[in-house]
Amino acid sequence: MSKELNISPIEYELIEAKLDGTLNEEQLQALRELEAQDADWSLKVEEVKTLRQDLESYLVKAELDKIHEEAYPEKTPKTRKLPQWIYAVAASITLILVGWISFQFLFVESNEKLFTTYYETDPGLITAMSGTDSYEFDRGMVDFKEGKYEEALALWQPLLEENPTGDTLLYFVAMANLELENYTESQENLELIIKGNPSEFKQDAEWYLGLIYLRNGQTEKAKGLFSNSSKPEAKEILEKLE
Amino acid sequence: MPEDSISHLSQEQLIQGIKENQRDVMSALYLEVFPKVRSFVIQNSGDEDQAKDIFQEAFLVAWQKVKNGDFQPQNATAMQGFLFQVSKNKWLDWLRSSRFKMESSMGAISIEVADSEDEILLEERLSYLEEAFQQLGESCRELLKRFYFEKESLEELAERFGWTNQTAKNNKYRCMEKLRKLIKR
Repeated sequence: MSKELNISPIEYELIEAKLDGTLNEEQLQALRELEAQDADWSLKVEEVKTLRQDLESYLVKAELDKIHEEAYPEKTPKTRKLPQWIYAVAASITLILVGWISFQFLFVESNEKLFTTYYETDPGLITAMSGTDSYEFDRGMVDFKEGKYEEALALWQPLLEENPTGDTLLYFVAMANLELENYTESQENLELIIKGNPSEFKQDAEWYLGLIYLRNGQTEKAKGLFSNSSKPEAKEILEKLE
Repeated sequence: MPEDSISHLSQEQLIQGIKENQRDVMSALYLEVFPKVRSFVIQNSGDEDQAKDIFQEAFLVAWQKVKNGDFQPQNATAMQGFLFQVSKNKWLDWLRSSRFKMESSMGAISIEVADSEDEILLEERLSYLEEAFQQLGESCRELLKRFYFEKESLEELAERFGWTNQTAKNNKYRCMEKLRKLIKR
């Protein structure tokens, strides 16, 4: 079917009548004339013949496909070749994961909410009453009260290295770190106060450490600290955690 | 007639039904012979899909022979036997061809290929035709299927679609010309 052939409706009708063997006298006469005059006539006949045969073959083939599909439907779609139990297990795992993630999310969110609700910045010390003679410490406290926590830490850290057990220093270094969201450093300093010698900062240290534990999801440890506290907020949190 | 039974059909009726593309006759023949071909193919290194492909190719060969009048039944199950034999031969040819390809790659002498050149050309043409046919409009597809496969006459088509006989003839010409040009594209 390579050559471009123009086949008119009359020619088409004649070719089909010839192929079907239904030519009448008039058509036979016209056909003979075309055969004599048209150099492409035999090509046209061949083209229509092949087209008709191929079309019918294609339609038969399409029907055979339908017959086959109806008689032998695919038992399982290809996408479900794995055994059913695998889907059940996968669904269960997904459900557990979704549940766990949701629980974690809600849990962390609720603990973080409690932390945010109850956390308040320590007001700091009146510098004249700081209880230390350190100029650097007082300057740091001024920075702390102005919200300049990094500057405060820059002044306090060298002092803490010189006096690692000083409870006032430990406490305010912990508070500055807490403001800067350095929870781990803050936690370590507060734990040192609680484990150390009796301190006027111990109760506040327990309160803030309890909040850090709560935020970390260490609820039982937080509960232990809050239950020792005389702060009314600690009792509120304990009630909410029940 | 139930589709799964051709036992009550004579060979003449069966052949007439195939010539006229009667759906129930074709379906009954398919259901009668395919399971046997499938068993043969599966017992001889093939699978279900290969059995389907080889059987449908064989069915088209048998159908063409019947239409051309090249098949004359000699006994009461000649058509079924012929279809099975064509399928079997095609599968054995395929196996030999497959083996040929394997051996050829190892330096052995070629023997023969599975399909004749004519059959490969037919497959190629049918593939183009399918693509072109699917590009026709719905009405052209239905008209051509009713005329060339279901063998409805132009008069029946005219009545079905509410056309005059001349309109049915013109539409059939227009659809065939469209198909012919799509294939040549």
